[in-house]
Amino acid sequence: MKSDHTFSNPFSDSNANGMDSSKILEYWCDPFPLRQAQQVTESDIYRDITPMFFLGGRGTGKTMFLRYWSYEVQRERALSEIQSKSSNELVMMQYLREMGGIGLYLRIDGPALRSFEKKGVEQDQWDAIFAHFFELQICKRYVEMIIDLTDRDQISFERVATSFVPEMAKCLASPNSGIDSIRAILDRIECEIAVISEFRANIAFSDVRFSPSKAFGSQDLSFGVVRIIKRTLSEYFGDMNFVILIDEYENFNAQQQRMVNTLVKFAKPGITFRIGMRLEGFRSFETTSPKEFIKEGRDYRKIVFETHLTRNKMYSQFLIDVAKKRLESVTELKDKGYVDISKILGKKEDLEEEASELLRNKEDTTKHFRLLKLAQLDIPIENVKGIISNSDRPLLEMLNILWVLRGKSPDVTREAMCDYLNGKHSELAIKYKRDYVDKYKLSLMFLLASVYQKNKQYYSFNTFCFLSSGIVGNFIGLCRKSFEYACFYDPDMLWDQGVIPKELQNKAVHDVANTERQMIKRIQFHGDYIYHLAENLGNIFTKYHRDPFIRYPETNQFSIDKLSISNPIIRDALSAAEEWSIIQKKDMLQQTAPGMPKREIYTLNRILAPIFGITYRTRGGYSEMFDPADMDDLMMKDAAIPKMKLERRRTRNASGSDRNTNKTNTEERIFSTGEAKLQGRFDLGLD
Amino acid sequence: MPEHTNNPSNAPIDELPSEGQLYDLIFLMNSTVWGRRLTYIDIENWLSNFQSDVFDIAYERRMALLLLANFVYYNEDEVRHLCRQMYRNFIHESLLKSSLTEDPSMAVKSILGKTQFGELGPPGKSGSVILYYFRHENALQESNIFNTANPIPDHVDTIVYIDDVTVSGDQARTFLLDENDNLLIQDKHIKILTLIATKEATHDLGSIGIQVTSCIDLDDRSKCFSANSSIFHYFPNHLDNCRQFATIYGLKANPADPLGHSNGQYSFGFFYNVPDNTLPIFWSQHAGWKPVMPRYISNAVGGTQNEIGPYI
Amino acid sequence: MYRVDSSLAEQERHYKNLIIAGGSDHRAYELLRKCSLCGISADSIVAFDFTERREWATSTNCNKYLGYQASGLNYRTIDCSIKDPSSSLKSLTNDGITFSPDDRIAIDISCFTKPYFFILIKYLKEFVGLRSLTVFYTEPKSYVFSKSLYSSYQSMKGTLRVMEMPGFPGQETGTGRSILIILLGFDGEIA
Repeated sequence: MKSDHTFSNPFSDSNANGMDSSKILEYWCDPFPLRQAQQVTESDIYRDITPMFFLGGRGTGKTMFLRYWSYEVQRERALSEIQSKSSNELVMMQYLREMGGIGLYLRIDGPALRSFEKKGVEQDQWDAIFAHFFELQICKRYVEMIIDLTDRDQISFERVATSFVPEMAKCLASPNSGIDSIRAILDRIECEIAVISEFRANIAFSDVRFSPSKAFGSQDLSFGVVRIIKRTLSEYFGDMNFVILIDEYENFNAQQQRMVNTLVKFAKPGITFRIGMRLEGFRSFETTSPKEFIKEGRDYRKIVFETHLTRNKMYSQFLIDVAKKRLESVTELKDKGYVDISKILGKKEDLEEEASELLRNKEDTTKHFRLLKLAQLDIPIENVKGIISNSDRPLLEMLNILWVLRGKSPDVTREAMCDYLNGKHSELAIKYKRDYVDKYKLSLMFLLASVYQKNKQYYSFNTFCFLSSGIVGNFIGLCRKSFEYACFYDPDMLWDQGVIPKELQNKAVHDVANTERQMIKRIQFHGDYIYHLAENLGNIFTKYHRDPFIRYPETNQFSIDKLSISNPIIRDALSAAEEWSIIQKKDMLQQTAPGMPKREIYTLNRILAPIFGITYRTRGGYSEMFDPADMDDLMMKDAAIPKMKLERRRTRNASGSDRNTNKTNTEERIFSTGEAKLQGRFDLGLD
Repeated sequence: MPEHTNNPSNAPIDELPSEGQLYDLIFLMNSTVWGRRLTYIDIENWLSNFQSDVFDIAYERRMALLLLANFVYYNEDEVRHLCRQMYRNFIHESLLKSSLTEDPSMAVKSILGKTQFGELGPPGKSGSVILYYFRHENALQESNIFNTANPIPDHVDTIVYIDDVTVSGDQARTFLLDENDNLLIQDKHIKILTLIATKEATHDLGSIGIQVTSCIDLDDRSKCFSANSSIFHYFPNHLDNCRQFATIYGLKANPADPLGHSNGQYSFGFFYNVPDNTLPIFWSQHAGWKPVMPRYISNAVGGTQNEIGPYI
Repeated sequence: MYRVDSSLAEQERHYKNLIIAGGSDHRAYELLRKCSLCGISADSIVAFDFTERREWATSTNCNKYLGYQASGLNYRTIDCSIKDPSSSLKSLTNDGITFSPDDRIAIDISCFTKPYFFILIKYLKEFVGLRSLTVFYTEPKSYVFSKSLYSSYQSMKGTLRVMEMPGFPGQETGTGRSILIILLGFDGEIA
C-alpha cells in the first residue's frame, strides 16, 4: 500500500542530544551570529580565554552548537579534511593545533543532578560528593581524548606511557596502586564513578557510608590534569587551550552552579569554559568564595541565541542552509533537486490570493461590508458598497471599509483606490499604498477571515521563519510536520512538483502550535500558571486583531516590570515562562506606545499565534502594559480583557445618545461565531 | 440485500469520534508506528468499498474509520522485540523448572543445549518469518534450529515450534498431529512459542500435552464485536450496528468467513502479513474488494495469488 | 504472569504481609475485596499512605481512600510522600516493620507509582533477601479518554516529570548508550 514515492522525512532527526558526531558535522550550519552580532568567530571558541555563556530556549541549537566544538566532532572534521585533501601531510594533531584548542563536552542529566540531595544525607556532604563526581567526569574526558589520539598515532604511545601515565597515577591513586597504563587510568576513573553510583543507589535504602578510595575536590582534576598534560605532553598540547563545554547548565542547582562559577572565575591558563543554558537559567552568580561572584563582561561573555538569530537578517538564509543540509541527505529529494525549502513551501504568502480563495464558493461574498454598520454614514450602506467595492480584490475592499470606518468619505476612498491601481502618484495614492502594502494588509486578512468565520492560514517559508521565533528547533518541527502531512495526504504533488500545498502547511502549523501549547502544562514548575498566562495573552491579542478599526494593528506584545511583582510565585512563574520561551523578551527597552516611557517588552512565542489567529510578526507599535495585579489575574484566572477600550463607534449619532448596546449586538452578530473560535478549537478538515 | 436504514438502533452518530478526529489519529499512527504504510488515498480507496449497503454513507465511513483506528499493527521493530521477549519467556519458564542451585548462566546453556527451534507449519508460512527473526534476535546457533533434513542429536530432548499467532489452536494441532508421524520427534518434548495466543488455544493444546508460551494473550476484549470489546466500551450502542456492517460487507470480501477465520473478529496484523482471523474487510482482495491492509495468500495450487498469478 | 480472576482462590491462602498503596481509584482495594471473598488472609496489611493523595481525596472520596481499613485485616500505615520513595522505605524499619527472607509477601502494585514499586521490589530482593514475592495487579477495564481517543498525554494534576528512579541511578561513566524509559500512568492520582 505504500506510495510509490516514499522517502524518509528529512526533518525527522532533530534532537542534537541523540545525534552521533558525524551527523552533527553533516547537519552543521555556521550560525551567522558568530560572524556578525557578537563578533564571535570560530577561532574565538578555542582561543579566547574569556568564558562564554550561550543562552537560548529549547530548540535554539545550543547542544548542536556545543557539541560541534567537542573533540569528537573536531576529530570528524579533521578526518574529513584529511580525506578531502588526500594528503598525508595534514595530520589530525596538526589540525587540532591550528584550531587552537580541544573541546571536552559534558552534559549531566537533570534527574542525575537532582539526585545529589536528601535521602538522609546532609547537603554539604552531597555538595562534596558532587564536586568529586564532577571532577571525575571532566578527568574522564581528558583521558579518553588522550587514549583516542594515542590509538590514532597522533601522540606517542611511549610518551604517554612513560610520562603522562605515572603522573596521572600519582594524582589519582595512592603509591604502588599498580596503575601502569592509560587504560588502567580510565578503569580507575570509571571505578570511582561507579562507587558514586553505588552510593546513590544504596543510600535510598539504608544509611551507607560514602567511601571513595580517594576524594577529589573542585579543581583537583579539572585543572590538575591539564597541568599534567601540559607538563608531560607539551610538544603536542603546549599552546592549546582546553575548552570545557558544559550543556544544560540550568539543571545545576544553586550550589552546583556556585562550584562551577568558581571554576569559571578562577580558570587557570590554558583552560576556558563554554556553557550552554536556558534563558533565566542562572540559579546563582555566586562562587564558593564568600562575596565573590561572576559578573558579565568581567568574568564571562553572554551570547543570547534567540535574540541574535531573530535580529539578524541572515536568519532566513541560515534556515535555508539548515534545511538544505537535511534535504540533501535524502537521496530521492537530492536527485530531484528539491533542496530549497523556500521553494517547497513557497517564499511568501499571497494574501490577495488567500483572500480571494476565502470568498470563493461562498454564497454571500459581501458579508464583510456589514462592518460598515459600525460607521456613521450619511448614505445607505448599499450605496457605499457600490462605491467602494472591488469584487476581484477583497483585501482592497477591506481597506476601503477601514477608511470609511475611520471617517473618510466613500468617494475619496474610491478615488484613492483608483489612483493606486492606476499607478498615480497623488497624495491619496501614496497614503493608500502605504496603508495597504506597508501597514494593514496582514491585519485586513485576519479581519476578513474572522468575518467569514474562518481562520487565517499559515504557510510559506517566510511565515515559518517568523513562527519559529528564532528557535531553529521550531522551524525544523514545522518542516517535519509539513512533510509528514504531504507524504500522507498528497505525496504525488511533493514528488512531481516539489511543493507542499498551503493547506497542508497550515494543518502542520496548527498541529505544531497545539503540541507546543499542550507542552506548556507539562512544565514542571508553574506549568499551570504559564498555561493560563499564554491563553490569556493570546485571547487578549485576538481581540485587538478583531478590532474593525484596526487601532492597534497586529498587537502581540506586552510590558511588565518584573521587579515590581511582589508575589514570588508569580515572579518565578514569569521567569519560568521566559526560560521555556513561552514569552520572549526583547533585548532592548522599548516604548510601549509613542510618547510612553521605555520598558521591557515581551512577545508571546509566535509558534502559538495560529491557535489564536494572530500575527506571526512583531510590528512594534503598541504593547499591552501590565502591572503586578494584572499578572496575578493573567496567571490564575480567565482574564482576557484588553487594556485599551476598543469602542465600536467613533462618533455619536444625531440624537446624541450613546447606543453602545445596539452597537455591541451588531458587532456580536458579525463576529459571534468567530469569537467562539478564539479558544483555539479549529476544524482542521481539508475542506 | 437487507433493507438499509439510517441507523436502526438510533444511536447518535456524534457519539462516535468525527471523521476528522479519526483521520488525525490514523495519521499519527501511520507516521509513527505503521511506518507510513498508508496514504490518504489508500484509505479513501478502501472507504469507497462502502456504498451505503447497510447504513448511510457517513455512518459507514465513521464505523470503518473507527475500526481502522483500532487496528493493531506490529511493525518490524515490534516483531523483533516480541521475538526477544518470547525467547526470554521460554528461558524463564524453563529455568523455573530447573534446579535453583545451579548457576543461572550455566542453566541457560544447558537448556539451550537440549533444545531445537523450528517453524510451526510448512516452510514459507509466517512461522518461518518469525523463526528467522527469532534466531537472529537471540543470536541462536544453527545447531539450535530444527531441520527435518538432518537428524536430531540425541542430547536434544525438546523441540520448540515458533509461530506468530495461535487463535483456535486448530492449525497447530493439525500440523503437530501430522508431525507426530515424524520419527525424529516422537520422543521429544514439544512446545510452542508464539507471539500471540488465545487462552482457549493454550488450554486446548495443553490438554494434548503441548505447552504454549506466548507474549500476548488475547481474550474477548480483543474481539471487535464481543460484549467486552474494548473498541466499543464507550460506544455500546454502536456495537451491533458495526457488527452488522462488518458482516454484510464481510460477505462480499470473504464469503466463507465474513468476520475472519473461526469467526475471529480480530483487528491486528503484522508488517509481513495480516492473519485471516482479522476482519476480512481490512485485508481481502476477493472479487474487486480494495483492501487497506492486504493479506498475502499462498493458495493450495502453489505460488502466491498476488505476485505470481498474473504470470501464470 | 497470569490472570487470576476466577482462580484467585487457588493461589496462596495466607501471606505474612500484603503491601498496598493507598488510593481512591476503584482498583486500589479490589484485591482486598477479592481476597476477603476467597478467604485469603494476611497477618497484616502494610498500607503506604500518601500525603498527597490523602489531601487530594475529596470528602466524597475520603471513605474510598481509607477503604483498606474496612478489609477486616490488621493494618499498619506508612506515612509517605509520592515525591520521596526513599524516605518511606527507611521509615519502614523505624516503624518496626521488618521482613525475613522466607516470609510470604504479596504486593498489590495497582496503585503504586513506578518509582515506588521499583524501589520496594529492589529493597525486598537485595536488602531483605526475600526468596519469593507475589505481585498482584488489577487491570483497568479501560482508560478514561474522551471519545475513547488518546493522542496526547496530560497529567491530571499538572506535569510530567523526568526523574531518576531512587535506587536505580544507572551508570554515569558514559561508556554505553543510555536508555530513556518512559513509564506512563494514565489515571489521575496514579499518573
